Amino acid sequence: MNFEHDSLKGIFETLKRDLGEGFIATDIWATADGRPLIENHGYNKDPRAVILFNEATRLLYRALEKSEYPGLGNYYLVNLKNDQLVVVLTLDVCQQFILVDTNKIPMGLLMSVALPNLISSLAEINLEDRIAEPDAERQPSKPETVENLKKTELAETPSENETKQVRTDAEEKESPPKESALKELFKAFTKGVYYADKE
Amino acid sequence: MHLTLERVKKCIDGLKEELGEGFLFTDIWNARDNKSVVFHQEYGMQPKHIKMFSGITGKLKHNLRQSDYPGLGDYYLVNLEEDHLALVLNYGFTKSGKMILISESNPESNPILDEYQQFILIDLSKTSMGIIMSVIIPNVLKSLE
Repeated sequence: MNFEHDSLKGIFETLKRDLGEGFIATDIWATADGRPLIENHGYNKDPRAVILFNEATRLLYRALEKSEYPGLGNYYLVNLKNDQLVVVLTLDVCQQFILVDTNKIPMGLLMSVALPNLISSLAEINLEDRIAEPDAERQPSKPETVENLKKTELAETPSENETKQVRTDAEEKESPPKESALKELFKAFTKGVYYADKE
Repeated sequence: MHLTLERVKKCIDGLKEELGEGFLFTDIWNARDNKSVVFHQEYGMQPKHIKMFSGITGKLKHNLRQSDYPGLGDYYLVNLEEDHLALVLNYGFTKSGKMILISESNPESNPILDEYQQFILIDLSKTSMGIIMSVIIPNVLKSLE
């Protein structure tokens, strides 16, 4: 067990405390291969959730990418029957889902306290290094970010796509550095609340 | 059709008032045929985009049904780049014309006759998630009752 692992566990303990009885499950995984970043999925009794939400992110990303709408941002929420709500954070190289019981936690507490706390804590640890660390029993895999899903798909049909790829690379070089996903997320959930001066 | 013009108008007027500059546009369509019920050039969506979001909703429903998770409820909400937010609501009407939430429907005791989806595009730089979750979603659903 290394430092990063302990940090993630600490962060999730805080999340559980913030959400109280409203907490049902959470898990964090590498986008590329669904590998959990917490041993045995830690706080998720159903590891199939990772497959389910990894697929949902892919679905949203690809549908939006083909449309004229802005691309997928840093999170999405899905209201489920039985008063449950799923929050999926689509960070750069990993994703996290949080399942809550909306009967047991006020929405304001989730949006303005629990999620900002979680996001600012995640920003303090190096998730990219954690993902890049190959497991002893696994072949190291090249991290694939949500952003890179676009490139992966483009590579499948070379003719028109090669041009698009070159354009994408050129745009990346010209565009100013993008604010980190976690910083954008923190701003999104703390707009208008007292956390704002923590940015 | 249970979703009357008055209900649609009340819903859109309410959205514009509560979201102010945060309101970009909205559309409502019958989930059976993806036909829009908002005949307004300014607010309506292109049919291909209705088809796209209808497809996303269908796939989410399907994937959740295949899992052990509860089914899709009354809405999902997707943060987009450029500080935009796509809100997709999902509701229905019973045979008697009563509006019913998907989360409260039951195929045996409380079946839905007509199911609709509503897309709302929001400029998040002009509003906040708190307002959307605690004011906009409940009020839109209430306005259609």
